Amino acid sequence: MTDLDIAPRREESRALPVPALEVTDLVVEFGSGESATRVVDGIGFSIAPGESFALVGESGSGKSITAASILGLLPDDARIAGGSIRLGGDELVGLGSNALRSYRGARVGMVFQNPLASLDPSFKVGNQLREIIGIHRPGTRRAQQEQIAAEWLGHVGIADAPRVLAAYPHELSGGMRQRVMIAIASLSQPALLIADEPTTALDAVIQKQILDLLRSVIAETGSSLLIITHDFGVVSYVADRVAVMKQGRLVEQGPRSSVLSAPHDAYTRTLIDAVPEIGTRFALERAGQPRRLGVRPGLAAAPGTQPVSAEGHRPAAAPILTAERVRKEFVVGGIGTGQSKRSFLAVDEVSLEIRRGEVFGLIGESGSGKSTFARLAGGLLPVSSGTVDFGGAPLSTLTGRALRAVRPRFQYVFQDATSSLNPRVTVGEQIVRPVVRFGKARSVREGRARASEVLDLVGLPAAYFDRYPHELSGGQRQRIGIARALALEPELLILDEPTSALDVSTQATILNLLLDLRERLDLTYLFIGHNLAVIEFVCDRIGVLEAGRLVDVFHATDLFSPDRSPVTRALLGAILPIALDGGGQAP
Amino acid sequence: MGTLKHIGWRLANILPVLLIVSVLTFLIGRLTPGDPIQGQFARTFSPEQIEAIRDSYGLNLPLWQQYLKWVADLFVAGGGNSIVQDAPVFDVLWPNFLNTIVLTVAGVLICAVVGITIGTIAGANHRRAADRFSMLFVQVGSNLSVYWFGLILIWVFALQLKWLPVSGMQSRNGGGFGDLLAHLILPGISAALISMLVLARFTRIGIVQESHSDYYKTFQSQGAGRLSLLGKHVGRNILPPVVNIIGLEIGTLLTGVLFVESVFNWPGIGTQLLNAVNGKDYPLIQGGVVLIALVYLVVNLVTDIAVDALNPRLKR
Repeated sequence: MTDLDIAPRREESRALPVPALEVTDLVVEFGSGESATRVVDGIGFSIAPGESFALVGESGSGKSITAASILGLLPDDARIAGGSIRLGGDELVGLGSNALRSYRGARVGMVFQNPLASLDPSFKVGNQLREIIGIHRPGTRRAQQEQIAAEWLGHVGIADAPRVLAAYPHELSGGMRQRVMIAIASLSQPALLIADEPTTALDAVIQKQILDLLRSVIAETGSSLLIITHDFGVVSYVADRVAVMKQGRLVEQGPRSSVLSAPHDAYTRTLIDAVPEIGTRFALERAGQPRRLGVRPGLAAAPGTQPVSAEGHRPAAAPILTAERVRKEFVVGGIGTGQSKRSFLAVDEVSLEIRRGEVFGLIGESGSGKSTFARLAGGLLPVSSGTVDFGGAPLSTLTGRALRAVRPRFQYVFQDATSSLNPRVTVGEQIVRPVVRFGKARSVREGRARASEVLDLVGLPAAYFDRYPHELSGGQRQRIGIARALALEPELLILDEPTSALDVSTQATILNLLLDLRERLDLTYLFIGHNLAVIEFVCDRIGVLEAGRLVDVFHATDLFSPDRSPVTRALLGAILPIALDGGGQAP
Repeated sequence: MGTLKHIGWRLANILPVLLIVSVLTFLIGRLTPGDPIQGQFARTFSPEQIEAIRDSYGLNLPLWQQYLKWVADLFVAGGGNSIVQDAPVFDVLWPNFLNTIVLTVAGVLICAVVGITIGTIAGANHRRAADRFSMLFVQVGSNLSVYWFGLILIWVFALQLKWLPVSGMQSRNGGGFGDLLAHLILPGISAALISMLVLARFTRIGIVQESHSDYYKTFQSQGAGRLSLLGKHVGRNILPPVVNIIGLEIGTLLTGVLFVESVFNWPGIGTQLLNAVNGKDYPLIQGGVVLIALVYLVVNLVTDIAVDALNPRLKR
C-alpha cells in the first residue's frame, strides 16, 4: 500500500480556494543519522477553509506528532526531515522559532487532550487568558483584556464568566477546563483549530457537549478543524473528511461517509469493526453468530463458538457476591497534616448482587465511586458500613488469615496493565508467585506448568514466560494481567476498566478473549467501565452509579426501556454512533 | 481568617515536637557517662563537698524534677548556669550563636542564589553543553568535603591571591559591615557548597519537568516566548519545591557551618559546644542543642507556611 494514490491534489488545482492547511510528503524523524526512526513517513492531506478533518489512528501511529509538527511543537529529539506544511499558502517548514511564533495562536489554535493539565495550576484562569490575549493584541489594557476574556468564556458556553476568571484551574471541572482551552485556542479566530484527542479524558456526556461546542465555534469563526482522535464515534460526529493513519502513513482518506461505510483499506475496516456499538450483540444474536467484536453480522460464524443468549444463560443462578448497603467514607486532613479534617462519601448505601455465571457491568462517570466499589467488593478496602458477602464468606468482616483464604477465589484485572505489573520481574514469574503463595501449586515447578497453561488460555505463546513487561505491547500486558488472575482459578474476576487504556483493535481482542474465557471456564465477571457501548456488549446486567449511589440496575436487553433512570438515559444520549449509512450529522 | 487559622494550626503542631526535643535534650545530658562535678572537682574537694555542689545544681533530685527545673530554667534563668563558666548559659551562648546565625544566613543566601542560577542554566539548556558542563561541576562539587574545600579556598583566595582574609573575624561590629562581608565570603561559600549543589539539581530537574508539562505546551502553542514561559510559568511552578529544598538544606547547612567555623576560626556556637562537650558542661550543651533545635523548628515552620502559601489549592 503506497501513499501515492491518496496524495492530495497539487498545483493543478489552482482554481480552488487556497486550503487552510496543506501537508505534503511530511516526514518526521526521532533522532538523527543512522539511528533515526521515522514516525511520520511521507503523509499528505489538505483541509479546505471551514472544513472538519479527522486524523484517525491508534497509539503510536504518528497522528499527534503530525499535529505537533504543524506549529513546530515537536519534542526536542524529533525533527521534520522533509515535506511541506502550508498554512493558507505560507510555508511553515524551515521557519525559525521566532517566525513560527507569529503563527502560533494567531493563525492556528490548539486544544490538547488532558484539560486537567493544560492550564497552569498556579495562576488564576483570568490571569492566563489575559496573558494570551496580551500576546495576540499587544497594547491592550488590562480592563480590555478582561472584557475579551469574559466575552470568549461566554462564547464557549460558560455562563458565570466572573467566577471562572477568578478561579484557579483546580476549582473547575474537566469539561469546564476544556471549554476554557477552546476559548484560548479560538480567541484570535485562527484559520485552523487543531484538537488533539480533545475529549479522550472526558466522560461521555461531557464529551458530546465539548464536541458540540467545537462544532459551533468553528461554525461561528469560520475556522477549519483538524481533529486527532482514535474514536470513530467522534469522527462520525464531527468530521467532514477522514484520514486513517497507521505506522506513520496514511492508509486511506476521503469523505466521512464513504470511509466509514465503505472503507477501501482492510486496516480501516478492522478498526471500524472493532468498535463495540449499542445493539451489536443483539444483531449478532439475531444473525445466529457468536458475540464477538470484529465479527460483522451476516458473516459466517467462527467454528466452535456458540451464540450466547442475551438473557444470560443462567438467569436464576445463586448469587456469588452480595453487597448490602455498602458505604465508604474517606477522611482527609486532620492532626499533623496542617489541614482541617474533611470527609466525603465515595460509595453511598450500594446494595447489589452478582449471580454466579453472569457478567455484571458497573458504569458511571469518573468519580462516581465505581472503582472504590470494586475495591470494597474484593476486600481491598474496608467498608465504612454495610456488608459484602462472597459465596458465604462475610468479606467485610474478615481480616488477616481468614481474608487471605478467600482471596484466591476472586481476582482483579486493573485498567493500567503497565503499572499493575512489576517491571523488574519476568511476567511468568509474576504468574507463578501468587499461585505458589496461595498454595495452588505445591512447587514452583507445578506453578510454572500452571503459568504456561494460563498463558495459553490468554493466547500467548509459552515463550513469553521469560519476558519482562516492557518487552510486551499494551494488549499483551493486559493479557498477562488476565493470565495472572486466572492462574488462581478464581470464581469471580473483578475487571476494573480492563480495556479503557487500550486501542480499539486491542480492546476488541481483549473483550473477545474475556467472553471466550468466561464460556470456557464458567467465570463470573464484575466489569467496571465508563463506556456504555462496551458495557452493553459484554454484560448481562448493568448497574449505574452516580455520585456513589446505585441509581439503576437492569438487564442489558432493557437498556432502552422507559423505566431507565435519567442518568442512564443521559449516558445513552451521549453515545456517538458510527454512521455507517453515511447519514448526515446531528444538527 | 483561613490563613491565620492555618498558621495557628501549624504552630500548634510544633508543640509536641518541642516537648520531645526538650525531653531528649535533657536525657542526652543526664544519661551520658561521666560526671562534670567529679571531673572538675574530684581532686580539690572531699566527697561531702562534692555532694553539696551536686545538691546546689539539683543533680540529686529525681529525674523528672530535674527535667521540670531545667525547663523552668530555660525560661527564667537563662538556661541555668554553665558549670565551667559560671554564668547563665544563654548569656554565654548568645554572642556566638549570633555569629553562627550570620554565617548561616550568608551560606543560605549564597546557596539560594548560586544554586538556583546553576540549576536554571542547566535546566533551561537541557541536554546541551551548558547543561552537561554545569552537571559535571555539580557532580564533582558534591564529592568535596567541607573541610578540604574550605582549606583550598583559604589557600587560593587568601594565601595566594590575598584577596580575602584567612580568618580572624572577632566581632560582628568591630570592622564595620565591609569587614564582616570580607570575612564572610569564604566560610559562606564553603558552608553553602553541598546544599547549593543539591538545590541546583532540584532546580534543574524542576525546570526540565515543567518545560515538558501540558500547560507549557498550551502557552507555547499560543506564541508565548521562552523567556516569559520560563520566567512566569516555570518559575512559579518550581517555586514550592525550591522553597522546600532550601528549607531542608538550611538544616544541612547549619550542620556544615559548625565544621566551617573551626576551619575559618569563626567564633560561633560550634566551637563553643565542642569545648562544652570536652568539659562535660551539661547546661551549656543542652542550651546549645535547644537553640539549634529551635532554629530547625522555626525554619521548618516558615518553610511549611511558605510552601502552603504558594499552593493555590490551599487558598480559600
